[in-house]
Amino acid sequence: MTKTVLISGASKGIGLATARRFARGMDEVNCIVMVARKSDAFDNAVTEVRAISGNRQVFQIEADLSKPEAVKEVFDALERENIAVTTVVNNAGYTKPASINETKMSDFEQTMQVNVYSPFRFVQEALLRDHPLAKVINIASTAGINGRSGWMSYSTSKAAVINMSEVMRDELAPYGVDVVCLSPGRCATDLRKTLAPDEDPSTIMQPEQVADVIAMMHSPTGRMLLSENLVVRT
Amino acid sequence: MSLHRLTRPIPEPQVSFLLLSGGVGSRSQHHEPKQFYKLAGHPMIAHSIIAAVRTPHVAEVIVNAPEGFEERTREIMEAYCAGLPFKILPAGTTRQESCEILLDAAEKDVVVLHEAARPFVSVDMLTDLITSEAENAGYCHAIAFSMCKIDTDTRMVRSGVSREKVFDIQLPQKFGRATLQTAHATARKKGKVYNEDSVMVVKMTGRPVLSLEGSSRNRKVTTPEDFIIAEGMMKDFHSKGKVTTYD
Repeated sequence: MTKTVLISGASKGIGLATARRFARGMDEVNCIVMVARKSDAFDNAVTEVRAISGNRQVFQIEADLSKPEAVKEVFDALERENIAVTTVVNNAGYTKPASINETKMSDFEQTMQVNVYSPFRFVQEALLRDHPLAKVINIASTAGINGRSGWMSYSTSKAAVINMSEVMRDELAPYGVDVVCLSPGRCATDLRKTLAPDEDPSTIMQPEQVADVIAMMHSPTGRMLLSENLVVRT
Repeated sequence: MSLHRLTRPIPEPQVSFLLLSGGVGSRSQHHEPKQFYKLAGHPMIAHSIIAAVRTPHVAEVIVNAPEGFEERTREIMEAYCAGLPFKILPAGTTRQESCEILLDAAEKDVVVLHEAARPFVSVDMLTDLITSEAENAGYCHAIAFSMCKIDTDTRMVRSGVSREKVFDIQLPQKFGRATLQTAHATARKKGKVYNEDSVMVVKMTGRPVLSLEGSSRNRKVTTPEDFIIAEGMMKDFHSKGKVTTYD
């Protein structure tokens, strides 16, 4: 059966690197759905992925995952195009690091919406709409394994992703769906720049390296590593 | 590109999936009927619905709701049927009645009968059954233990029962709708009571029923101990897609 991979947060960073990785040919994936907020960067990313995707189809769906109704709208768009999703890569992430004292509830809520509720909704909508889902890849973070002072909302949200992935692994087993939870450490993305503005990105893990791990976890080899939260770091 | 279910080719035959769920669970000692007890996070009945929904031959799901659990049954059907049409009907006073109620609501000429208490049904099992050439077929499994006849008055052992010719009758089963309707109508008229449908069809209609090879995994989950065993089996059952380890 042909496979369709949906990647959230696909305009840059790990999401774009993952889209490129699948565009170059991987595991019979012949359709890549890139989801991100509307931006010039997103348009350029889609153009770039299309240029290397050969006969594979690349769909662009603009969605702001900080909006609660966004995931429903993504699935409405998929239905209009008759696209059935077999893999979801829940990659989109948001952070606004602040101390407890300085955390605004609206920022905390947006973090939870993008990082926790949206991944949940992608899986829920796929089940409720009978997509032939076979694999869910949730991108958590090493910041979700231990609490990080100053990154309260982000750390909390990623801990939730790790825990949610465990529940998904059990509850999706009857559907025959594999659930992968990856926790990258320091990776040279825009999000990392927000968390650690003074760090030299060339000295840390690159998005392409995480994309290679995602591709491997998507492959039959990855099934042998399905267990719990997997830490990815250099 | 993968096409969505609604746009994929629809394989023949299309069947009505009849799901017996009328039991009130007196044996499982649970506050709800046993079909609502959770296994791997889902109500037990949902496991059968998941397999049915993922089988492209299944065109509709028809289920009984035990008295007082109509709303709970509806919630579950709405959450798990993923757009597949479903009907919820009352349970009868006997299994036979519950089955006939489902049967009368079936819209397809072929029906697959299953029960919520067998959560280990899979897409492969349903597909093999539905695509079997026989009009009527069901899974039967060899019995692994010794059996004997006992004089129930004196409690004295009388004789052995050959395992070679006796099988455990499992669900799911497939029937031609008209054949099963005739069997039920005839049984009702003659006052005959059956606790499953394959023998009923043979006895009441004379139509053949093919036995397919069942599985020791396809067990009925009834007692509190069964649920503990089933919870453990569930992970292994689904972890690698196919049931091959112990069969």
